[in-house]
Amino acid sequence: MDLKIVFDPLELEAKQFAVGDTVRVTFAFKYTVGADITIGIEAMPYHYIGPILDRIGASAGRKEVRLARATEPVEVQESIDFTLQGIDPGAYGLLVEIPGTNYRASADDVLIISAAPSPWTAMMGMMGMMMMLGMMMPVIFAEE
Amino acid sequence: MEEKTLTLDLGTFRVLQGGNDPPEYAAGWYIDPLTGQRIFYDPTTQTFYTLAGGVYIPLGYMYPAPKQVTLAIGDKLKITMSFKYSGPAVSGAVCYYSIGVYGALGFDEKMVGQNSKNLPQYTTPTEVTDSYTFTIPSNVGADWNDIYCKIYGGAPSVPANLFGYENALILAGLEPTISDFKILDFAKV
Repeated sequence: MDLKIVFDPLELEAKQFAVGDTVRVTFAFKYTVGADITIGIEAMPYHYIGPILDRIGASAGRKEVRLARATEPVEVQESIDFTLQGIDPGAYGLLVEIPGTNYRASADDVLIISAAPSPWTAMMGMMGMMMMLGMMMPVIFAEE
Repeated sequence: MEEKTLTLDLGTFRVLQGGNDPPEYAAGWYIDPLTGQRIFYDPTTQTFYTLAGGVYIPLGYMYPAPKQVTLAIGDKLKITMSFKYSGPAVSGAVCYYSIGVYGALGFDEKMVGQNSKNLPQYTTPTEVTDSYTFTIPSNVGADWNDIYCKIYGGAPSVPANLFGYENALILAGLEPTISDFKILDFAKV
């Protein structure tokens, strides 16, 4: 007896990022086309303002992909890098699309974006360590 | 570029004889051998009808395609029609072919081609074939997926016999058709 088990694709899990991080998204699709063509594909975060899908264009990444003539469906796998900029901290969806068409793939709320660590925050950390050292030094010298 | 072939069978017919052509069937209901549908034959108009919503409408000439042919720009599509003919010799009958879009308003012909056909005299129904080859142009639309052919005219004239297939072609045009678009993974780099 044959037992056939088919797994559905796993849903994408949310991941943590900070403003300024670069995200690489890998995607796939199948296509047919009557002649060689180059298409532009864009990837970017999005969220909803009411019912409207709001693309964060400042963070968008773009790639030109060459499609060779194919009368039978051909699978393509590609990736696009984009940098999280011009974006407030929060939860965002991930969108990959061919602009000007209805061809797109998306996943809601998978980009959990926190604020970038500011220079002041980094400096405060350094100052804290120096203050700790400053307080410990007299104790060390006193023991000697 | 590839050459692909579709074959359409127009069935059996004879020449018109001055409007006095005797009806081939008696009035009544028949089963369409192609679709299995119940149809009614009216010998006065020599037309088959089918019942739809309580109203008799002429039986269509378009049928679901038994197979689909995938084509791209520059490919050649050879359409072959066949029919059985009995009657006097006919000169100059027109074997007509079209690729287009079939809808509620009829068949929108996007590409047409035709051959002039001379039929010899046959005393018994004899199979005759004819074919035409189209080259798919660069401006082909993805919805040009229906085909039909017909034979008509000549001297003496043969009645118009039409036959076609819906969704017979899968056309790859200049614009890509995308499917199964999905995000596989994403990560910080």
